[in-house]
Amino acid sequence: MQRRITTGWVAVSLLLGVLLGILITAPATPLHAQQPEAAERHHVYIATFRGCEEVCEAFKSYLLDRGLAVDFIERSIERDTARIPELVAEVKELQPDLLVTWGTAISLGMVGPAGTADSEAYVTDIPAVYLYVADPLGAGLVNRPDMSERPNLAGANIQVPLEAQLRVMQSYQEVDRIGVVYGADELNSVAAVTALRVAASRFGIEVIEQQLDPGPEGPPLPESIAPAMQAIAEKDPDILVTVSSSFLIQNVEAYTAAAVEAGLPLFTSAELPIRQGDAMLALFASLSSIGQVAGYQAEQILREGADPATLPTPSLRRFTLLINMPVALALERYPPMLVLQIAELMD
Amino acid sequence: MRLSVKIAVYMVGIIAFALLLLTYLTNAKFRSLQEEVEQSRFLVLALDVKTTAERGLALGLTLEQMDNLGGILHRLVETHGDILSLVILDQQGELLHLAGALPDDSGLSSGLERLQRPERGGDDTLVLSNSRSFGLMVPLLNAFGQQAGVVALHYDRAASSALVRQVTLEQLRFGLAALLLSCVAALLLTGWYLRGVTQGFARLTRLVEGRERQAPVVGGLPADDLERRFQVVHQQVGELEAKVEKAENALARR
Amino acid sequence: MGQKVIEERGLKRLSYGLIVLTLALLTAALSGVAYLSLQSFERVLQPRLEAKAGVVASVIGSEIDRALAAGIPLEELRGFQPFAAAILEDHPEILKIELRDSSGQTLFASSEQSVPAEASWNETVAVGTAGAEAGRLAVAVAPGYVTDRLREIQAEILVILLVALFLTFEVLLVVVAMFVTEPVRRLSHLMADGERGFFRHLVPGETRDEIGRFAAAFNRVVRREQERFAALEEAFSRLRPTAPPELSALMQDLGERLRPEARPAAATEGSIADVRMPLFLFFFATELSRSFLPIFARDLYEPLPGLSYELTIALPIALYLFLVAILTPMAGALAGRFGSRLLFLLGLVPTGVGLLMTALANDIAMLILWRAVNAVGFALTTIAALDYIARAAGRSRRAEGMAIYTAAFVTAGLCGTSIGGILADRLGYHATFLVAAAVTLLSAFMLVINLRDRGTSAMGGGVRLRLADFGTVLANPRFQLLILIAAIPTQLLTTGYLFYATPMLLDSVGYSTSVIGQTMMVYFVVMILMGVPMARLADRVGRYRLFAGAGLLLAGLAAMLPSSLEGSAHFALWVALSMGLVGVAHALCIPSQGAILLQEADRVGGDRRTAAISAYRVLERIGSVLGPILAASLAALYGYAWTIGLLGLYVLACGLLFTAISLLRARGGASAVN
Repeated sequence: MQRRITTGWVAVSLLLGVLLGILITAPATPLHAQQPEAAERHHVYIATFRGCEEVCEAFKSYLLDRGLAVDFIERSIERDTARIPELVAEVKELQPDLLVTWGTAISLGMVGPAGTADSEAYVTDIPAVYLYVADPLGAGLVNRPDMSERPNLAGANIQVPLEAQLRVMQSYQEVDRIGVVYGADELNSVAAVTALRVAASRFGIEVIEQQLDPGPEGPPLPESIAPAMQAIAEKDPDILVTVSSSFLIQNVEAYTAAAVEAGLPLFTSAELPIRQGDAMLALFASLSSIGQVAGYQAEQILREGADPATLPTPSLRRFTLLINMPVALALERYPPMLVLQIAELMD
Repeated sequence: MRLSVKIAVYMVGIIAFALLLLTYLTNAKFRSLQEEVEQSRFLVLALDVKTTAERGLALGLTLEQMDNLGGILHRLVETHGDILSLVILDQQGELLHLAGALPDDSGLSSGLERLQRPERGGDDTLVLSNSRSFGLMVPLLNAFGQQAGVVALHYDRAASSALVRQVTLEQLRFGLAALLLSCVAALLLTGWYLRGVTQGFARLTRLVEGRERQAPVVGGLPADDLERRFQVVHQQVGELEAKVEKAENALARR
Repeated sequence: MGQKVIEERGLKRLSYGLIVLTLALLTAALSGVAYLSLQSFERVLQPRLEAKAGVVASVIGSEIDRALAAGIPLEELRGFQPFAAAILEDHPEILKIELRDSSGQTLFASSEQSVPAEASWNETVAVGTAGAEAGRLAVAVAPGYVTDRLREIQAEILVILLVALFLTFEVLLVVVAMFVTEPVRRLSHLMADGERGFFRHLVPGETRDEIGRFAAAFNRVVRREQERFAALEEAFSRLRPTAPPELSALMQDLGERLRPEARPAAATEGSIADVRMPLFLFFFATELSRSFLPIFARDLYEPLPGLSYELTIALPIALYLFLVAILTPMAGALAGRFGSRLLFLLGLVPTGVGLLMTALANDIAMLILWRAVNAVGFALTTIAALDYIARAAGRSRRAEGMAIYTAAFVTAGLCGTSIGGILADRLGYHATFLVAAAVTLLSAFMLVINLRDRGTSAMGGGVRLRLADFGTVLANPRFQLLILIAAIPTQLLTTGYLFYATPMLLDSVGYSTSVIGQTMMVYFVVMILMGVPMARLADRVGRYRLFAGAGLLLAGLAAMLPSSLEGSAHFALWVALSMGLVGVAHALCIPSQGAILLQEADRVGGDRRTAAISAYRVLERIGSVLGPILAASLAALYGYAWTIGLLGLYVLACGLLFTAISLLRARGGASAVN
């Protein structure tokens, strides 16, 4: 008995000794270190498609509003993508602190697709932020949706998620069936309709499709819009959704007027159909906020020296909800209070 | 001091302790409740401004560009007399819109600094308080959830401090009255309750002092018990006195 | 218990009657004040609530105005109900909002729910476009909202009542003892002499109450007779040679009966009751910070060179316990030198200063330093109190004295943790320490008025503890067993779980210090209610090892409760249950451990018996010092709930081992007898 208990003592003392040792030698948590801010001037090179428009201006004023000292070097390719290599060469020569590329074409043209190695043709060693790129992953600009994983590229997601669009429609009114009118010749429209159908099924919403009659040369003619609208009205959808289509954007007034004519409210996730046409409801990212969110990324790189590869890609969380009140009143589709509260009203 | 008074003092001491705690506790609750009511009244207004401002921010407008905000702030300050000031600041602490007169010790810059700390949840309201005013600072978030500025509302605490003072005084009055009443009650009740003991001892005292003849003895109180035994003692005293007298006489004769 | 000179039942009835009386008055006063306060709160707050409801309505109104301005007809407004309901979610005092048209007809409402008739409707906000009123918003404010909100402090008010109840017991028993029992006892001693015809002593304590006046009257008689006798004696001495023998015999007899004499021991000693009040206040002051001290330490944390985070935040408690453990035996010698009253007062100085400076402490180093000073005070004061009690009680009433000491400690623990929690919740940690310092001052004051030190310290320092005594204890396998797997685990659980991990655990889940205090209070309540009955039961049954083993097992199981229920609703209640069970377990095993210790010490026997017990008491404190350190370091790895579970597991394992060894030994013993 005695030996057992003595062993117990030894074991306990050993245990406690080790424990105390750990406690005493364990490192103390380091204090949060604060870096002093350097008041240096940054050089930011902006490559645009047709000059510094609203998005670019918003980007610039964001940085200035945030108190950064920035000199902007602005270059426009004047809608001529052939001029991109010129700009690449100039950037390599000027060595700015940051390169900003406007739109998918310039971004791909200047920093190259994901996986680009060191190359004469692309800028690979200067941090770059892409601006106003609708689908960076789809365009092959980045590797992952949540961060670029490219050593010198960062940017932001500016798309309005389909879920958000469907939710807005549902909070505006009861939606069981949504209608969509499109031309089968436009591949992006077809893809958008497929995506819409997948998303809608998760909400228990049925998608009613109406294709535009193809014209004699393939693409539909503007005259085909009104009959298609009447045809879909007979299937009695609760609301119409606009999918991306150059044809419908070109004919936005006719298209939206036909919807009102057919007594159908029209939802859009682009700004144009509601500003220039008679769409009733729109949820879109405002051009200024697209510029600002890119500015936010640029700020982190310039001010804090953030690594573009691992900088989290932010998404726009608030979009502008715009209600075209004359159309809503004409269709007697009055917005509910909860929607009114967060919506901008157009009169 | 009488026995009942001595004991009553301690009883009242306990009651006073409990009353003090109770009054303190309820008063603290009242203060926090009152503050909460006032604060939420003003928070409703500040959040209303926030909704309007954030609608504009989602549109990509900067706070500075929202001309309608100034009017809204002025209207609110006019209709609600106890609002000292209602302002909108940007992230640098620049006053973009101002209605009313901002208190000197508004604490806006330190508040802004606290709101900008990374560990703080982006959407929490900050409450500032000093001896003269309360302030609420509500962060404004832009389209990508980043803080773009702050609505700050300061309101006068004079009215609410007067209210608190009034209620506290009332409570103190209640407490004192209750204490006084229980003081009287404790004295009377312990006096009544201990009457057996005290009367017993008083009787014993009179007996010892020879002011009273032998009294009948009943009951089980300590005085009674002593009294029973005191009869024996009394006898002994008598005997002793007799002996002393005898000795005195004997000595006197000498 | 010596001479049973007082009608004990009568005195007890007297105390209980006074306690009932106090409680009745207390309840009446508290409920009266609570009721009046509530009335006043409602009167003041109701208009404010209505003003606020008006503001909410105006915000809703402005949205409606916007809709109307956009061209939506009032009757066609959609979604008023969810819109208004969402806003009202943040305003529980508003029962309902209705939108009424110009004829007063309700168009929309925030809910279907009907509003009680006594609710007041407020209809000040008009809606419309460009000055044309289209309708009005009507708001109903809940009539009993203020009362409902005050229910939130129900538990705390109950705690105050409960604390007042225990306080009443504590204080009134002392008061009755001080003012009635003790004087009567002293009288009674004299009566015993008087009954036999001896009047050589005066009754001490000629106070101005009824008993004191009787004593004075009695003394006057005695003094008169004594003076007469003194005169006689003088006269007698002059003629002694010629005195007749019968006169000499008479004078002899009278001298034996009347010659003044120093007081007998029983009448001179102070009463135990005298020390009880200052002692209680002292413990109360030290216990006030019980419910939040670890949290306070954590909040003040900053890195100290060479110390890990866990060790640093456990140090204010662990170092305190360590110093108390090593200083207590040393303080014993001081009691002999200074006398207990002075030592008590001396002990209150570091206690008060320590608490005051803790209140002003702004960093962890200061906290640790002042806690250490407090530890010095604690060691001095408790030793002084124990010394005083030992002297006042004498050998015969030693057990009663210890019971009074323990009762003061446990009752103060109950009152201190709960009240301290409530205060800390509202005043903050620093100010609560200030309150504690003030209570210490009060304790010193009570000490000065109550405790009359009668000079000589008859007891001296008792047996001086030698290093060799530790050797005696450590080398003895029976002591080893008791210390290692019974006493240390018990102490470790007390400080590690109850006093360190509980506040941290409940704080991490988001409970207030008030709730933490209430939870910890449960342990003390159980100890008060179960302590004496359990100890008596153990004495009656006599199987101390069984009780000690069962206590360890129960304590271990009880401590494993929180980890298995982590995240459940009403988590604090479960922790409180665990506390209560640990309380039962400790009531089972601590007195039994003490009894076993005495048995084992008797085997040691001789002059080192007492020293062995003291050495043992020092050694078992290893557990209490390690408790917080172990809990803190385990918590860094596993979180507090699991830490407590692990401590429980450890105690359970010790309990199993202890029971097994005890059973084996019992069988071995039995077979040896056979």
